[in-house]
Amino acid sequence: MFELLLGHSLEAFRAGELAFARGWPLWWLDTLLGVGLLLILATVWRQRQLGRVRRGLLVLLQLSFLALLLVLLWRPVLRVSHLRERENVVSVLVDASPSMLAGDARRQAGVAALTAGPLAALGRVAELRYFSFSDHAEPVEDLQQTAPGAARTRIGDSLRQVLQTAGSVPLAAVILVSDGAENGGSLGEADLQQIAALGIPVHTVGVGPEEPVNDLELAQLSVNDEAAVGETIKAEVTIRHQGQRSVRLRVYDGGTLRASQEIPLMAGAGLTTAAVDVPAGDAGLHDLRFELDALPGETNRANNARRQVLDVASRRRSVLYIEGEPRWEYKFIRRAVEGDRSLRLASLVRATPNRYYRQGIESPRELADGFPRDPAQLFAYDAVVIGSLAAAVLDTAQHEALRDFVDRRGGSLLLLAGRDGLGAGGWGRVPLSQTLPAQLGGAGAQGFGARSSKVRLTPYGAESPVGRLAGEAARNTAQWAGLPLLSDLQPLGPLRPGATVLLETVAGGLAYPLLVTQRYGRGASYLLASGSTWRWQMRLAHDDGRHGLFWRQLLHTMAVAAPPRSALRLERKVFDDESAVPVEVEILDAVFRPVSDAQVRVRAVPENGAAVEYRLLPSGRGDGLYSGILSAPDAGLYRLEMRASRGKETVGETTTHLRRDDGVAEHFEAYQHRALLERIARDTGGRYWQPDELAALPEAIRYSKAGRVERETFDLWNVPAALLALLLLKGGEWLLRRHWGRL
Amino acid sequence: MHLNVSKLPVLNRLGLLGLLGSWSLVVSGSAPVPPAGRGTPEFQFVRLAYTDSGEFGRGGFGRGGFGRTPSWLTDAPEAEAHFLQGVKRLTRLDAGSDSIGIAPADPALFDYPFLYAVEVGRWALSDAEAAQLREYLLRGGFLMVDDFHGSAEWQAFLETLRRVFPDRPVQEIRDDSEAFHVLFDLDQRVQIPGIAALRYGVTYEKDGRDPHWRGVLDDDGRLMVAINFNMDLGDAWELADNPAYPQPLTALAYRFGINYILYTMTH
Repeated sequence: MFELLLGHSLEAFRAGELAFARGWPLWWLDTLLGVGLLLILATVWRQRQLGRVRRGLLVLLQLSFLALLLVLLWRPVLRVSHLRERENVVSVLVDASPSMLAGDARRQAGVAALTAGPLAALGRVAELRYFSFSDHAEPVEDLQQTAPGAARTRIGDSLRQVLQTAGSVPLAAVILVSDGAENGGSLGEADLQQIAALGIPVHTVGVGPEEPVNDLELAQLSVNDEAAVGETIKAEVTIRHQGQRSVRLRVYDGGTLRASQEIPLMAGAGLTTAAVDVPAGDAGLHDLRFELDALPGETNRANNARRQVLDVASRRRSVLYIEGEPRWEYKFIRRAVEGDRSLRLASLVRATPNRYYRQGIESPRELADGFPRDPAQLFAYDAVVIGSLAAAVLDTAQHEALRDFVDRRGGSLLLLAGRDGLGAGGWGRVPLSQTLPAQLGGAGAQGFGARSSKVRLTPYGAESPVGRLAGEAARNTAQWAGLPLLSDLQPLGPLRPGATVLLETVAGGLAYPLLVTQRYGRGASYLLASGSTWRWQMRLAHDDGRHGLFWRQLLHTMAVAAPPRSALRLERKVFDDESAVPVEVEILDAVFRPVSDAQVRVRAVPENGAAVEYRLLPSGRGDGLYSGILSAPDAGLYRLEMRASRGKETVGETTTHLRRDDGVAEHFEAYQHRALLERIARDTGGRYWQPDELAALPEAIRYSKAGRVERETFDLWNVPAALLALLLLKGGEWLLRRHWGRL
Repeated sequence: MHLNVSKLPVLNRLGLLGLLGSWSLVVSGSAPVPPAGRGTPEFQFVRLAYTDSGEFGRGGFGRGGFGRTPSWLTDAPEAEAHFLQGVKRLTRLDAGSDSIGIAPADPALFDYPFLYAVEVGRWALSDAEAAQLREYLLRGGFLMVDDFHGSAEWQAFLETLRRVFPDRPVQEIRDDSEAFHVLFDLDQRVQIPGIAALRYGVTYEKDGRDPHWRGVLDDDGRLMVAINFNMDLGDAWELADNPAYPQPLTALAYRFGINYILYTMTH
């Protein structure tokens, strides 16, 4: 009908451009239209007996008639480019990745819709070339033929591969049949721009359901890949669902169930994120599997599970605690961490003016001379706690080493309130003070003194592991609210801009920051404005445990944040359907300065098979950084052993693990990603098609601007629609006048 | 209710101590958090104000004890007044100069993690007191007991201790325990006698010839009750200014006392 009325197809109008061929200036048209309007108004205005509405209608009809007539006099034309017949190539690219070959046979559906007619019509105007792709495109004889499927879908790479043939053949268009389930990372913003810049229209044919059906998917898993012995790690899971109320998540370590939790799901279909606590267990490698219970009749169960490799370090983190006088706070902090298998608290308490008492030391020489004078000895600790100790007890070099401990070594430092603590001990006037989250001392500063106050968790504290006394948020708040009063307070000075208050204390109706932290350099600093948390232990039942838990979590949080001297870093520890493993190694010396002249080797030892050794080269991203790409061709666990040497001296050693799995990625997000397919089509000048709309595809491709084309101009003044419109406008006016009795 | 032991000489002159001793100092209800920080010492010497059992002829209202100093106040306040001066001189501990007495059932007990109990051959604890003292020790409190002698007083002491810890063994403190080394290395075991024994030219009272340093440990092997049996450290502290009492024994008693305090403040 469209073509009958307008003389040409809708696709021609979509692809072409409208113009006037008479060559007369357009302002003439505007002027004549204006004059005509005045004449119409003058004529119609005198017919007052018709009323305003009827006169307005007549003006509209007459003006439309005049406008259409003038436009036709200016000779409107349609200029189009269309393919030269049989001189062009159209490539048909069919997705043959595993998600396309799944139970709903979406590939066959797409191919059938194409071969039912559109391809035959296209074949009459262009040469057809067929490709099958998953991670790359392979030419095939016909669409029934599929290239060997790969484990990932790389639509961007495959498209680029086909589009680049435009350099040697007149490629007019590409037809992409796919579900859009790209999982190879080849369709980023830059990739799309590059594809669009090639100027070949890509017509995308979307196949497969646009929403998952009766399927639960563990869409994302975010969990640490390193932990300390006995630590409880928090895993964040995102679940894709379609109206289920809840689902049970189980966490297995090898074959052993480590955690199980019923997760309530948001109403309707969508994504729900939840947190799950998982005990890290003993030192060594833990091959974790997070798995959702399957729905009844669920066909795609492979996307119910995700894996993580967890390395639990056998090395205990070391914390140095120096106290300037015997204090109950010291005693109860020591008791809190004494049974901790992953934390060692080496402590010095100044028992007499001339003697420090040492505890938690690993050798008779450790801390034998008091607080370390050699920065390398200090930097061997992961965190430092300073109690009621006058700053003047340490010399200038020790103070500078403490500042560097936070800034360069990346350690964490905690200052406690006390008679000689914080500002009262002169800690606001030492190099270290610049790292602290609040100003200490100064004019008008309040000293350490008796003040009963109630501790309160801040929103930031509730998010921090330091503030977690119970897993569930409401219970956690109640646990904090039930703590006994503190009995002393040493108000802090103004907070620095980067400070975060984790705990505050309320006394006399005023809230004071109690536990404050900030990042500084590579490390972090903390201030605790009270020395009486021990009262929580003595005022609560002996089996309550909140005091101990608070201190263990605070010291753990501080200690685990300290980077090691040598680190082997991976983007992630689970590589699904990918064999290339980029690694980066950082090597620092004993005082945490980068080592840039090391020989760095990584030995990849697969679970089954022979080990392969790689030499890493300086990455160029910074001093002490080395990088390389390892190959993990076979599925299974790999142990990566890194050794860095300088001459005969070993300057760094570490071991980590990764897991390689095959046949995983294609089971996730395996529905039709229509938005992505529409974006590809829009950016390249093509169109998105559903299989039942493909009849118009050959005509759309016929007017492609790519390939070998010829330009044509079609007159529009003589199309039936123009004549019909003129007749309708005049006929309509006549009928109205007759109806009103005003002929 | 706390009893400031430094005021005791006045009370004693008024003949009221026996009355106080026989009316136990039990306070019910929750005690407020005591003041601390600047002006308040970190370490407060606290005597356990127990009720006299009436055994061995001392204390106990209506049992011949009226008007006499209750057993828990033995040697007070001179003993701690002398001893605490030594503590402040020899260590960096912020210690108060006087002591207070707290009844075993007083919730304020939990604000003072160090307790001194003297003449424990005569101590008596109700079920509630024993339960609170057990809870106090399990939370991290420390009890030093002193000045009881001979097998009969041992049995009486043990009988009450069994009500606190029915199952925990009493054992000799090992020589390598940090309680004997935290500041002073106390390798020699010398009996520290009371003045009464010295007047008879011996170092023991009753049949308590052999001194014992015994203790009760918590589940992690930490000492929570230090038992000085057949000894009288309190007399040695009290008589530090008395030429009749041997100075080396006083010095040794100071060292044991300081070690116990530093031990409990570090373990």
